[in-house]
Amino acid sequence: MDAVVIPIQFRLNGETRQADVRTHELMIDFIRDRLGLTGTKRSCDIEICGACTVILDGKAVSSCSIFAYELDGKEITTIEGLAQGDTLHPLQEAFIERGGFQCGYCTSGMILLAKTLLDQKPNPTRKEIQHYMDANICRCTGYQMILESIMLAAEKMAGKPA
Amino acid sequence: MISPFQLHRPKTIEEACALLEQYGDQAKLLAGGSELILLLKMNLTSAAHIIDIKGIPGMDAITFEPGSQALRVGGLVTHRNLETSPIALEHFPLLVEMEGQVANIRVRNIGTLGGNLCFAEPHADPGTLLTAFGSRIKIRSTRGQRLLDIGDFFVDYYQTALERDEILTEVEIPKLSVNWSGAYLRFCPGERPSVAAAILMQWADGTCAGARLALGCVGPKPIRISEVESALRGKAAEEILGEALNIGAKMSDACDPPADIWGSVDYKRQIVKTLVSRGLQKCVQDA
Repeated sequence: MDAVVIPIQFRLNGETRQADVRTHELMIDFIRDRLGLTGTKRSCDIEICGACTVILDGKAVSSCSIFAYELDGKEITTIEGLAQGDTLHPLQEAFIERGGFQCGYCTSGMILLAKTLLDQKPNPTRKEIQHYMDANICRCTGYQMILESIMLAAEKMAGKPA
Repeated sequence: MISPFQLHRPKTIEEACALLEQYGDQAKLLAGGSELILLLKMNLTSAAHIIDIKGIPGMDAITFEPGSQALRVGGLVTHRNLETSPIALEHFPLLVEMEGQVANIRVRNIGTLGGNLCFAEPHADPGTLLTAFGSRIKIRSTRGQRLLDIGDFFVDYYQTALERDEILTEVEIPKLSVNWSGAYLRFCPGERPSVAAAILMQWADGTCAGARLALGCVGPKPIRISEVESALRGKAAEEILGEALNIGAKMSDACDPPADIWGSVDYKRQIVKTLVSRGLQKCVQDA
């Protein structure tokens, strides 16, 4: 069968976009290869590790295992959408200040997943962060500093001194 | 790589049933996609027609019917919907606790309970607890509607009683009457449980008045262990506490787990025994 192409319209990091996608095209391929946003990483490819996490209508999803056409009518945030110009998002700042990454491959997914947590629950306990974030894998095993980074980001976002 | 397919987005269940009847073997239903898309990517299945049913209104509802005392979970309800549902929490706190443990938050955000059951992966959480609850599965096709007990819905590894033109539209979970306590326990070294146990017990004056015991992941589908259920009836709570490990051993003798990547037969039996024993202790504590 020839590829079936359908038009979609969506919001990408705050901007309205239109595109033609193949029905069988995966969201991660569309984001990386067609939109050129390579901050979204492919790793396990079976929605376990979380490296490809994006935020779709406020929810963290694995872009490796969802079709690109599902963007239609929705709002997507990738890691490239977090900073406002030269101003980093508090989560990005906190990850730098606390050393929340080693090789950096899981970082986009970790930060985006953490953002969905803090958006729902601005002041989570350490245990709540652990339970929520156990979805994503850091293969360098730098979990402790990731946890510290998210705690710090929560403080920053609440406007408290770090 | 996934092969190209024609995409259909029906707006009613009738339309979805008609499409499924029309395309038969060439079609696959897509809800959350957290199981189907993996299979498509691995070329373990293929479809010339994908029928995406997410646009059907009303199928994402969670309602509690006071008359029948049943929770009705629409076929498009996600694990996360259930995990965060105030109605589910009020009537089925154990269901909410279990749903909060399914896979990971990204999967729970898009994966549906209905899709999870239709996939019939033996190493999954919901089937075991829903088996203990005595749930029923509502099914639609152009030929009409039918209701199946969950024990008849699951047939074998990755196989359900669904005919190729049928759609799961709702999961019906009957509420237990008064004085029940319950536990859902699993051993889960990764994303999926390797062994799971669901235990529900009814109490009257410190004595077990009824029990529902289900084991999951120890064979092709979740099973109830009725001989141990009846042996528990009439036993005092303290007696059950004292015999918890023995009862666990009886449960593990009653199942026939395969040796596979999740562990040897003896290893799994040991886990069954431990999980059941801990579950019984929790049921007695919460009685």
